[in-house]
Amino acid sequence: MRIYNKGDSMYELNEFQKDALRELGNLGSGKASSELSELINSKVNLEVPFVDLVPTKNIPDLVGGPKRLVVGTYSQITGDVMGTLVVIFPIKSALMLVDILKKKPIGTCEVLDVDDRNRIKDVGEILSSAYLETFASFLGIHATYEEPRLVSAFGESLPDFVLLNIKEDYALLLKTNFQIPSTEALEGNFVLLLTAKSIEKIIDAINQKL
Amino acid sequence: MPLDLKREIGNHRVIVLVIPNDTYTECMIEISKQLGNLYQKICYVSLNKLFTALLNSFRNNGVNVDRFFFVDAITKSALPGIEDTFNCKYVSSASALRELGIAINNELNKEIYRALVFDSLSTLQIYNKGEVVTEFIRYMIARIRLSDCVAILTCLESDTDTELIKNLGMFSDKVIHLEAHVILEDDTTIVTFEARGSPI
Repeated sequence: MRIYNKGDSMYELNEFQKDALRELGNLGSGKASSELSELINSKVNLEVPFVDLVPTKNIPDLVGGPKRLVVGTYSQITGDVMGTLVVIFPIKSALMLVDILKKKPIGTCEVLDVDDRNRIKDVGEILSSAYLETFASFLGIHATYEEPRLVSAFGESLPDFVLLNIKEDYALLLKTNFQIPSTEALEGNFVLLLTAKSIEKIIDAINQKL
Repeated sequence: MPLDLKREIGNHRVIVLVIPNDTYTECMIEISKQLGNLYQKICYVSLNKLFTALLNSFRNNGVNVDRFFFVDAITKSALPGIEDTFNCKYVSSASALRELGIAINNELNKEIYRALVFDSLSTLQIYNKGEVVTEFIRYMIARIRLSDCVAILTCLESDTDTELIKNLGMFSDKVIHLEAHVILEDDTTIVTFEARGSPI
C-alpha cells in the first residue's frame, strides 16, 4: 500500500483502486501494442504492467533504462491529468523497427536519417495516442498529449526524461515492456508518469467506476 | 592501479576513452571529477544526459561544476523552449552536427579552455553515417589542436567495432580502454576504474 501527501491529508490506494489501475495499464498498453502489431504486421508480446503510486525519488530505480543508447519519443500530457509519456527503443531495436516499417531486410538501416526519425516519431505518436486515449476514455477524463519529440540518450537517462514534467514527491507510474518475438530482440517500453495532482482525479474517476 | 587521468593524458592532446557500458555513468563522473581537479576551465559536450540531471549528478558526486561550461545537445530535443544559461549552451539535437560544431567552436573562441570532454561519439552515430561523423570529429580535433586544450572523446565499449571508432585511432594521440571494478560493501557500491592503453 502506498501513501502520498496532498496538502494536509493523506491518500492511499485500496486494493480495488490498485486493481483498477493495473487494468488501466493493461488496457492502455494492450491498445498501444495492438496498434504496433498492426503497423508491423507481427505479434507483440507485453509484460505485465507495473502500476503504482511511487515516491519520485524511486523513479530512477523503477524505470531503469538499459545500459546502452536508446531512441524514442517524449510527450507532455495535459488536460485533467498532467505528466509525461515516453516510448523508448534501444537503438538496435529502433533500426530494426525502421527496416520493418520500410519493408527492408533487417540490418539495412544503419543510422536514423530524417525520414527514419519521422517514422520513429510516427510510431511514438501512434503508441502514445493509443495508450492515452484508452486511459482517458476508460476513466472518462480529458487528457491530451503534446506532439511527441524524438529523443536519444544513454538508457540510464530515461528516468530524467520521465521526470521532466513532475515536481511533486509522489507520482503515478505505469510502465510496460514489450517485445516482438518474430524479430531478433526488438523490444521497447512505454512509461507514463502522472503528477500527484492527477492522482486525485484518477482516484475520483476510478471510484465512480467501482 | 586506479585511473589517474593526469598520468594517462601526459603530453597527449587528443585521447579516446572507451568506456564499459555497465559503468558508463560512474565513469563519466570519475573523469569529470578528475578533470575538475586538474584544469581551471573545462568545456563538456553532453549528448547523453539532460543538463539539469547531469549537473545534479555531478554536484552530488563532488565534481567541481564551477569549472565546467556545458554544450548540451540533448535537453532541447525534449524542451525546445529552453534558453541558454551562464553555464550551458543548448543545441537542438545530436543530429544537428553543424549547429553543434558552431557552438563548440564559438565557445573555444570565447574562453580559454584547458580541457574539452565529448560525451559521447557513440551518440553521434545514431543519426549520421560513419564517414560524416568522422569528418566532423576530424574538424573538431583540428580545431582543438589549434587551442591550448586537451580533448577527451568518449565512446561506449559496445561501439568499438564501428568504422568511426576504428578510424579515430588514426586521428587521436592515445586510445584508452577503461576497465571497471565494482566493489559491493554493505549497502554501498564502489566503482573504480583502471586504464588499459590499447589500440582499437
